[in-house]
Amino acid sequence: MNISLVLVVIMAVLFACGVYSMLERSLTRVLIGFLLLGNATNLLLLIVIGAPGIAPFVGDGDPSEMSDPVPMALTLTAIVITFAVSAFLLALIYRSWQLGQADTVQDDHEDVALRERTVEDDEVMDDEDDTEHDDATTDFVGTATAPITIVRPERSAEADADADGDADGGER
Amino acid sequence: MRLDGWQDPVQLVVAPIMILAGVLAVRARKRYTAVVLVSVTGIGMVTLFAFSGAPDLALTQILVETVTLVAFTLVLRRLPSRLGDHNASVWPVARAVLAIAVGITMAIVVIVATGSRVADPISVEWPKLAYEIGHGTNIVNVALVDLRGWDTMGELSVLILAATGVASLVFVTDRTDLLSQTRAVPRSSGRRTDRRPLVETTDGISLETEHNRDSHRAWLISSLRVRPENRSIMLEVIVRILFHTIIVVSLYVLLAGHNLPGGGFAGGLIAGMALVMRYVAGGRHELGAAAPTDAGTLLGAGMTLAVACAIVPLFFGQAPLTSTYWDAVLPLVGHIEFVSSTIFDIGVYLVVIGLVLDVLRSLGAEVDRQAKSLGVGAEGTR
Repeated sequence: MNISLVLVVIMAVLFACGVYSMLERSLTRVLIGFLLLGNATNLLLLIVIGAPGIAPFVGDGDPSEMSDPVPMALTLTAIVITFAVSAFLLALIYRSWQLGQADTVQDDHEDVALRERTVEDDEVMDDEDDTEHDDATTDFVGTATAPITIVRPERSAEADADADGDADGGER
Repeated sequence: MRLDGWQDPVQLVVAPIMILAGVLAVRARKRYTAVVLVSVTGIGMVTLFAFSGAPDLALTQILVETVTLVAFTLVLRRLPSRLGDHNASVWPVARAVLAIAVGITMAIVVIVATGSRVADPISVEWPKLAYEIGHGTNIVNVALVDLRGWDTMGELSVLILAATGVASLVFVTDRTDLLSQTRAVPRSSGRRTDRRPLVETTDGISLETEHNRDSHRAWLISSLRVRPENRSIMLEVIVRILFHTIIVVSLYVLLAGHNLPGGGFAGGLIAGMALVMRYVAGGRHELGAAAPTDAGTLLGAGMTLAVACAIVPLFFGQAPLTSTYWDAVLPLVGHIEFVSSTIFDIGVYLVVIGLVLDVLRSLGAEVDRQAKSLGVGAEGTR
């Protein structure tokens, strides 16, 4: 089996970029990391094929000259599933923004409680709700594109409850 | 095992582009920049596939990249462009160290895994199996619909789940198909009147009645609902002319896939692209007119065909997903073969169209409607 060092380097970089991006808070960055990981994994399957041969079609040449079709079938499946999952993540981002005006992964409650002990952190949280500092510091608050609230009244009440629950205690 | 520097000069050209795009995508300050840069790595994959003897993968990946970019754009138009970093995770250095460690680990994994492939691969027999059992010469496609059909069956389930998840997250309370309600003209009661064609009148487009029977048939129905300043007539006309051609191409790719590059995935994505074009050019009402049926129906019909391909052979004492074939000599056409796994591929085709349609009607049409009902922005529909 022959391995192309160039491909290994590309794959390693894409894996590193994907993991780095997935560790961010913003769901958009998580999705970007997911897509990079998807490409990196497809590249892994491509490297495992070994030296590239001719396209695997019966009658085009001797089977020993062909690229291995097994990783290709796996990759084809992976490409389409990556698309389906990224569409699902996109819907999650949209929904998360619709409800909480943020596409970030939420803290767990212990973490929030820890942060609430200091006054400085409260001020940081107030800044998040401050519509004046909208230029580069926040994702969603006070920008030109106003958030969508829920159309249906009964959902609206529920959505507000969700938003309150997730507001990091900033309103107290 | 031999460690080459490169196998094809193209790899040396693609490598810096992909690496740069990947690093910049992570550091991008704006959402759309990041998305386009990720697409660059995807196109790099297309190039690598194309030069590694994998035409099917290159075809599918380039179609998926296009549809992904459209889906991203549909969502990102509702989000602010900047990616704020005030709530980014802490310790960027620690994360970088972790990420680099993962990259190095995977590099070692792939070298070790490839180096340990010392036995003859299972695929040595596949060309013979594909031709004798699957009656097709495209080994990758025969593997998907026949030799490894269960894999594809599982994949179809994932696609249906993801499509349903997308619709549920956007529609929230009811998953009724609102696309049928977004047709240009509200449906009147009674089945017969629904079938009346739209005609052009001096007052605009309306349903055909006794009086305007001689008028021309309406062609671009988005003029009913989209404000003139938000329309691009040139784009609408070109898309309208190309639409049916693209559907025919998608059917060709679907049916030719057994022996040439293509198959259900590529065909379904091409048909999905045709729907994407209609939506982008004419808005959600145009999509309502173009969509063959409800997305749920497409997903269900596709899965039913695939499951039928698995179950029917059981009644003949065969293993599930066993394929059979019929051949005939037709006048003028000559000798043709029909393999039953083509029906499985048609199921794949329908599920993929259903997935793209579900993404369009959720992230596209329904998001438009929610934005419009709140009067947010100039959506261009009235």
